[in-house]
Amino acid sequence: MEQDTAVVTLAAADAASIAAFVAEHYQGEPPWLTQARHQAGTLAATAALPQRAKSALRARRWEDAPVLAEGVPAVPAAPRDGIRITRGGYRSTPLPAAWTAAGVLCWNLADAVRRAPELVRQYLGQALAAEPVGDGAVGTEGAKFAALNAALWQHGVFLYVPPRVQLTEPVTVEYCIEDSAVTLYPRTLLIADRESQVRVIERYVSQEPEGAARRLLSAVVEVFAGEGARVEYNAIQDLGPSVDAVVHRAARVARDGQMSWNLGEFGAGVLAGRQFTALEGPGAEGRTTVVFFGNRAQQQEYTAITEHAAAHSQSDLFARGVMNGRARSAVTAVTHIRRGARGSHARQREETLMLSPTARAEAVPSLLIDEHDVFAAHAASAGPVEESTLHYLMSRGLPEIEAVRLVVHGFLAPVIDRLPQDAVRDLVWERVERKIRE
Amino acid sequence: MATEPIVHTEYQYGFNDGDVGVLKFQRGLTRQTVEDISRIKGEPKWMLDFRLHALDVFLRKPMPTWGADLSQLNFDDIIYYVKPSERQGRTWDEVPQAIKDTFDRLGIPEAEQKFLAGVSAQYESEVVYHSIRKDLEEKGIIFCDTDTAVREYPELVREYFGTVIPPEDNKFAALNSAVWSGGSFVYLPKGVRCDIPLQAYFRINSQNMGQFERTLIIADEGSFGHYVEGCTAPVYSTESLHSAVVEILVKEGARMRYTTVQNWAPNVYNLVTKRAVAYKNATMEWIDGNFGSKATMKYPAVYLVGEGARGMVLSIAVASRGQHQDTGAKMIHAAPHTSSTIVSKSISQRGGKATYRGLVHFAPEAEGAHSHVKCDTLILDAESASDTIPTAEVDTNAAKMEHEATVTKVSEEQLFYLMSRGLSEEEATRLIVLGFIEPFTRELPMEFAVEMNRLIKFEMEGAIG
Repeated sequence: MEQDTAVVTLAAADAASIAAFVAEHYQGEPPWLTQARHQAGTLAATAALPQRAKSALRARRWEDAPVLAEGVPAVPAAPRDGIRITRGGYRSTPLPAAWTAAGVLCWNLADAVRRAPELVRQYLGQALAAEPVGDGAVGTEGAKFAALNAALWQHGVFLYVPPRVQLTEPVTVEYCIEDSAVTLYPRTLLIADRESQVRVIERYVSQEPEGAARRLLSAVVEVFAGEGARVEYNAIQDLGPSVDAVVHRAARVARDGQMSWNLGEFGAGVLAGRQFTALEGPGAEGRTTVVFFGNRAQQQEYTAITEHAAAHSQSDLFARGVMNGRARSAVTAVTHIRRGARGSHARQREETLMLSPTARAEAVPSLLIDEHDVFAAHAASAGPVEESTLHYLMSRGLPEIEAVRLVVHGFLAPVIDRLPQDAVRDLVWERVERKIRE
Repeated sequence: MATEPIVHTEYQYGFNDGDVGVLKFQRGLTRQTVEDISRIKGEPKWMLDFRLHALDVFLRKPMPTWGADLSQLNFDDIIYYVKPSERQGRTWDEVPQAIKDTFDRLGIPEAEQKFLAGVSAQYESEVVYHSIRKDLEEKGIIFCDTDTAVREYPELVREYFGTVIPPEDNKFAALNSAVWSGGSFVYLPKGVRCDIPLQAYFRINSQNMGQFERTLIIADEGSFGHYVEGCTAPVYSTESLHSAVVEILVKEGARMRYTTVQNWAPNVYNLVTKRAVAYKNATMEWIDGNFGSKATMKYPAVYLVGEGARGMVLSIAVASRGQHQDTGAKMIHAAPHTSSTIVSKSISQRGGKATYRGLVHFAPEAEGAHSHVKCDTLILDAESASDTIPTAEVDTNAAKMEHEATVTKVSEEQLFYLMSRGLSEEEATRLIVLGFIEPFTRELPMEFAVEMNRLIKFEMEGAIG
């Protein structure tokens, strides 16, 4: 495998160098896409770096992050099941015949630009664009990285589910940063048409060679849930410590649609996750479950923004995490109920268990309410393992590590139990176990 | 559903009695303004130096980019100092009649006669009338305006002034530090209990006049005190600015409570910095009620720097038409076994906006610390809005933080129940609103609870057709 050479860092990536890179590496695309890439490239070069005063990300020097990497990476090995995406390309096992017959489209997004140009052009970028910029309590720190992805995305999943088609089996996707790669810009476009149903399980992994150079993942996931559609999105992020991961997820949910985000965040040196859910039709529903576990010097920042723009919309966010070592977490949840979203109902819960005296946690659970006929509530807590609990367990003969393990299990069980997929729950428990032992 | 407002915050004291200021400055703020203020007051050089340094800080600091909309606030259009009478009224007879008339309507003389330890009423920028009961004097309690304190207790003032809130803290603290005038100075000696509340009233009267009172309270070891302050202001068409600084030191084992109910005129910018430092086993309590104003930004803070220190903020905010109440609380846990409680109640109506903005911080030293935060908001009609933005920073694993908040309308179930018992919708709604703010009113001293009840009842008359 060829190594990435001639890496350009974020500090050095000006508008001209990004434009030259796009011109050289993204040939043969339709003019509208080329133009969109160039526009995004200019924005990426000029947008400010993350600098929110208390941000967990502030300590990180983003200037050194790799952005443009030359080299011709190898095509990924074929996955046993589902889809595998690397810097080198997109490999997929064949779709079930029944799906194809029903009109389900599942391609590499790079191919979908050719094969379903109207659909891609209609939807690409439109979920991220719905997010109100500079609105209320959330800044726009991530905009630089979302723009980088828009300029430089290579491979990703394009999935279209036609009206009333209900996929019983999940679509599984693995994103892998191979040891030869320093950047990965995957992009997902998921369109669930009227009353359809779809589940996606994503896994983010990296190979970590000895003395790995610093690497960057900048991913964008856009979801469109049509009227009465149900979309269940699951992701387990298990990247190695050399990777800085910036992930933008955005969904627009139409009348009576349901969007469910289910996330396990375990890896990466620095994680900046940002999630936006627009409940645009009456009765639309957004449900978010986040399990996070940081140790060593990990920094995890997660921002979840939910916008209630229609009557009787509902949202429910539940995040629980464990911080060990010198890890830092910052969870910001913003629920915005717009005027006219009568009868809306919103809940947030953010809770952190602190296992080490040097761990840090920050929680900002915000409610921005412009409508009076609503119910909105949030709860947040952070605290250590109760010493009396530990003493009790240890007095029953358990070694300390086992006692801590039991407490962590008890703390995380309610949130992990909310994850809808058995397979995802198992994977999450497995990672929790590993994190406790680390 | 109710279309009429449930809580009327029409300004009830919207009279003004002409301009009685004897000496009035030109609009705007320059080095000369600051030097003149200091010279007129006959201040020592260290205070002039403090003011001039603060002016530099003020000019250097940018406007806050968050919170209420301050874009209409023009610093060049404000008069920074007004002296209403040549000297301070020593007895009630010497107070100018126009001022007396205003106070009559606010009920100050009766209050003094009945309950209060002392009345220190700030009219415009100087304290014009001030008395303190003899028995408090005998205990060694000092209660006077801050200008007097600079003259008569220079050592005490110099030791503590600006130590809790330095000019560098924020732009408005710097502004206050440069042009402050009036405010209260309280010193409670070691082990002294002051069982009756110390009370002061503040008013803004001159058009476009900034009021920059400066309050410094020192509760020495083992002492106990309760300071009470209320504000009302006449209605004017152009903007006014109120930017106070309140510094409180609560020494080891002492307990201090600071109660404010403010009802500013709807054109006042109320930008206040209030902070207390609580030492070992000390208790600091802020009771803070915010009515009126065009925009209020106020976040009473307690720095818990000694082991076992306790802090509490109990607040209500009522935001009505054209008003933004951006209020909250800050608790900084910097020592072991410190604890804090924040209870915030907000009501927004008739297009008003109530924002809770808070911070709970646990430093690595805050082992065994604990904080509980509860914020509840009632939105009474379709035009009104509310934001809840709490921040928690936990830098230790040995502390516990809990936060909960709700935003709701008046419960229809409760309304139906009360109405099925024969109450009108108006009476039922009033009862629910009073129940909602009851955790606040029950903590007020009797004098204030009476005033508060009167205010709420008055404001809710004819609320629902």
